[in-house]
Amino acid sequence: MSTYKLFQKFTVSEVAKRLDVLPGELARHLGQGDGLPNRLWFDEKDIEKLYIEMGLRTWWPSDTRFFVQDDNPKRQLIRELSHRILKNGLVQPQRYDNLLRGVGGEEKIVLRSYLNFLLKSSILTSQSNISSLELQLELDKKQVLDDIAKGVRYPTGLESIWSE
Amino acid sequence: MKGNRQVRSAVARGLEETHRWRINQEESFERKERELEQRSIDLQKRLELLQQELETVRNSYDQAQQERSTLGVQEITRKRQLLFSGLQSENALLQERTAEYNRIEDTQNNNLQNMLSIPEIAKKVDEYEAFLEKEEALSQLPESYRKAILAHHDIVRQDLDPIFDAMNSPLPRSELSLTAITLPIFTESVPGDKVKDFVMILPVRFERYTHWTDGGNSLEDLLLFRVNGLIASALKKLGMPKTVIMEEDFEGYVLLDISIVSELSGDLKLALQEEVRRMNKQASELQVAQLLVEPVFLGSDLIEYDEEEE
Repeated sequence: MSTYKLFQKFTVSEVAKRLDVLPGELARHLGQGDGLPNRLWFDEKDIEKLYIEMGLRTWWPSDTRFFVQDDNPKRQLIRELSHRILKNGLVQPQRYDNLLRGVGGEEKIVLRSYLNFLLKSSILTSQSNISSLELQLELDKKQVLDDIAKGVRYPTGLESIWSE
Repeated sequence: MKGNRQVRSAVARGLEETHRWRINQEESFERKERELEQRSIDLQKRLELLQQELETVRNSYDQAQQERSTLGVQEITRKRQLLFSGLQSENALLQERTAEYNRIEDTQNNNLQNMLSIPEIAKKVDEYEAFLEKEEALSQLPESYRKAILAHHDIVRQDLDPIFDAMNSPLPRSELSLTAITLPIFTESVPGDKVKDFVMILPVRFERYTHWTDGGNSLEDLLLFRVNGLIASALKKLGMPKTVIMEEDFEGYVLLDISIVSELSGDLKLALQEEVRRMNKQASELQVAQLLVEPVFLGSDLIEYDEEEE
């Protein structure tokens, strides 16, 4: 493919990697929207458009600055995510993968475990959309998250995630 | 007396004749009885043979009935074998045609690269890209100067038309023969003939779902992508934009499990057929690789295995 931006085209998997979504999620979004293009290649503008249309957010941009300070890196991540959930307000459903976008490796595993803990504890609720799983914060559980973010009190079982 | 001996009374003659009659009759009945006995023996033998034949027919009838009662299971087994061997052969076909598709795509890319490597063209592309990056800043310039720059770049853009045409022109079709691949769709209905759930099995290796980041532009990947899109499109048209589509591993191939979570506003089969028809007509990679997708609707019992059957 061309190195010139003008003629640069991206394949389905390249677009999915750039957006950090599964190809199937991308396909389902297109299927319910404008339809799939005849030729499955995309340019830079298409990717920017898809990012907006799919409601994608990057909760952990590369220049991210942590609000929470903690000497345990895993606990810091968990407290920071709690802070961001409260700050960003998950009162409206938002894509599950938004909360993880921008992190990778071990950090992603920790955050995923934490989100699963929040779902099992009914602090967050989920609903399925054809191209994603969406999460929402239960309004009466804000205090629990606030306690975690401030490091005041942790629900039973949570500590196992950062002590693993 | 001598002459009188030949003279017999009518009664004596009659008695003698009666005696002979009796003897004749006895002989006659004796023959008849022997004949009847023989016939009886023959018939008895025939009866025994017929009874044996009847028994054989009855056994054959029972066997035929028994064999007939297993036709349903045999049909399912045959269909499963067909489907499984179909998945294998159609997957092999997809892999084979991927090589052909990539070859055709590479030819177009190489042609484009060759054009871009011509210094005069490369210079114009550089110039036009630089212009696009600064386009927004042009609004700050005096109008006459801005108009002159825009006019100049309109000409540069027009000079690049052959490159854009080369890039956007449809890929040529392969010379390989047009072949259809199956898209088995298994529907589970509830009373009233309403579809409750449906499942699709694709001739795409499950590892292409789990390891999609490796490679990702094969016909397997693109078919999986297209089918996901067509399901979403059909469901939206049927008034069910929200549902869950689960990817599962079926004997090493991708199975898509779709739950019907609300009332559909139309016929699911017709909607899916229409979407497949549209895909066949529009999907560039299928046309280039000379492939058609053929949906086949089947009952869900074909993929529900009992423990005993396994």
